[in-house]
Amino acid sequence: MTEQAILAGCLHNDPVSQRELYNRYSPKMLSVCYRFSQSREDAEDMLQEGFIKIFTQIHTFQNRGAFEGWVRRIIVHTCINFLKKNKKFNESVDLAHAGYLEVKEETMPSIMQARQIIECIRLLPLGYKTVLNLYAIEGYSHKEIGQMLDIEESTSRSQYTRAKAMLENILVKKRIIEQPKEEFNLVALLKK
Amino acid sequence: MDYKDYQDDSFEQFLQEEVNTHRMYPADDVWKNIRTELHGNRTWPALTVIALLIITSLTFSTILMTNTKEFRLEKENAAVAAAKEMAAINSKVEAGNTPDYFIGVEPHRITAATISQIEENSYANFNEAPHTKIVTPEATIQTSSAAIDVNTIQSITVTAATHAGLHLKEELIKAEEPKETIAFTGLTKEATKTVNQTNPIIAIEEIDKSEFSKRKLFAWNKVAKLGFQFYITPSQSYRVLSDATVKEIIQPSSLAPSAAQTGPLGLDYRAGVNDIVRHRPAVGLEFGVAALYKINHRLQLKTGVQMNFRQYTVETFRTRNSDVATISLVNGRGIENINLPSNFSNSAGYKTEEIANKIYEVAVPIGIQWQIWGHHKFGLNAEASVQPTYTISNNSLLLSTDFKNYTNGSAFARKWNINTSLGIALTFKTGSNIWQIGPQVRYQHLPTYTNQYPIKEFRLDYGIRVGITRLWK
Repeated sequence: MTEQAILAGCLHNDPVSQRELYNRYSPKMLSVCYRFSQSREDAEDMLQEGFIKIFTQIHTFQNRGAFEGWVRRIIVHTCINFLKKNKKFNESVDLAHAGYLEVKEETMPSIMQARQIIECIRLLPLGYKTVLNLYAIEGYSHKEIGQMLDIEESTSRSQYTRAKAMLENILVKKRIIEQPKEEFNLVALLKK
Repeated sequence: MDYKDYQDDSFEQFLQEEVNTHRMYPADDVWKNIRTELHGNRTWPALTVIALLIITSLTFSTILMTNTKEFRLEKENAAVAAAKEMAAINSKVEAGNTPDYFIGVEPHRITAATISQIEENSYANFNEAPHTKIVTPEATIQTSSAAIDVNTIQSITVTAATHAGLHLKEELIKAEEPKETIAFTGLTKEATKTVNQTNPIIAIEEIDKSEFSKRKLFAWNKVAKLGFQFYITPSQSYRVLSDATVKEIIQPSSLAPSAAQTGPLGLDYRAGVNDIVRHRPAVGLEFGVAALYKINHRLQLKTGVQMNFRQYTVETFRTRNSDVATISLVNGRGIENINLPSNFSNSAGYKTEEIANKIYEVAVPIGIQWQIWGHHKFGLNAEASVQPTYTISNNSLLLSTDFKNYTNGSAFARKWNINTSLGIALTFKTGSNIWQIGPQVRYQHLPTYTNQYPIKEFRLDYGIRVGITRLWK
């Protein structure tokens, strides 16, 4: 089934086409949700909510860009809205002290590489990992992130800097990456 | 991954490359919830089938009950009509009308009400009786009585005096002996003569009863050809798996053993599938309605509609993250591997979970019922049937062909199948109903899943059938 045929079917609310679209994008989108969420259950709830939005708003897709990009944007926004319902998220997104969080070696999972990196990202505090996901992986600008999360652009920048430093530290400890050269060691810079 | 000398600006690129290759497979419930949200709950087709069964049952039972009611009404109407007719005749007789009146005006009606039975018996000694009776009722009785032997006359006398003779008449009619039939007709006239003088309506009732008895004679002569049965069978569903195709085709085609086979949690691929799978039978149900047609006093043909609910449980391990269940399908193009998401492992997980695999079917059994033995109200029947079966719903977890995971297998389920059923039952007759109870075995001939799926599943159900059959005379 071609993507055009699937889209045409989804526009007519055809369950077979909807299932086909779901099968095609749900594994990748669940991975996106998983990076934002606190648990797998939350991730599946986000995915469910996101796909309902996709199917009910598919007529708004203008065919201007890639359909996958459109799906991904809806999923990411759904994740952010889901997190915003959580009070802890609203508090943690402005946190500055989380940069001193100690990550112990034994808390890190030992599994396949892509998954390992995702699990490392998920070890970050909620606010950090949200900003890091949006900026580093989803490609949103700090301005856009500020609007999405209702924070200042500068807050987004500082959150990202801290999140990145913390993630580097975790990845080094896990030996996924080697210690960056001194001039690029952000952790050291932050400590100074 | 080579991320040795990464630069600060390439950190995002590194993360994107790594993270975007990752895939996770959602649980089945996620799609079900989405579908429900978009399209509402799916209608369960079995409800329609059950509704049809109920409607059929009600229709049949209504027909049977109406038939009995109509027969009773017909009898009552005939009695009333005959009474009126005879009352009119008697009033005319008492008014001094001559017997010629009957011959000239209503001989056929008199015959229909009183004497037609005598004519229909076609008994030689009785041929002249109707004419005699029409001329003089007194003489008719005498002539008729003269044609009957002494023993019969004695019985007639007793019967006419006590009215209890009606029962005797019926017994005589059932025997269907010509001599006894004369006794019945003679009795009718005797009763008419005796009681007629005081109360003509009672006399006609007597005659009418004899008319009814005659009808009953024909009813008895009719054998109950049709029967209508409702039955229910609680059963246990056992299954046997065959992995011959896996061992002969799938395994040799694998160049190297998979991680599932060699890892610490891997399963021993050389072991038989029946040794690896942990399944247990569970209680199912079968119920239906059937029509029976009697070929002879022992053999009956039987067909109807039947609902089957079969289930068994499988012990699995729930996994925190989705795994991939590989299903190798064998078809004309060779072997095709399909990867499906799975949250149930056969070897390891964070908790055990018992899954009930449920199948709903509708079947049309076509078979025979044979009476092995019968004595008074008790009997012993054997029955066998072939059952074309349609699977309405199959909520089963399918074992991956590496025996490692379970995944949703409804897409691979065979829609049509053939079952054979054998049973034996003790029967007990109460009125026109026959109750039965006895053991039953049903075997599924074709595998539950399509021919492409290499692990073959065959099912055997043991149950106790309880049923009631109503004879339709």
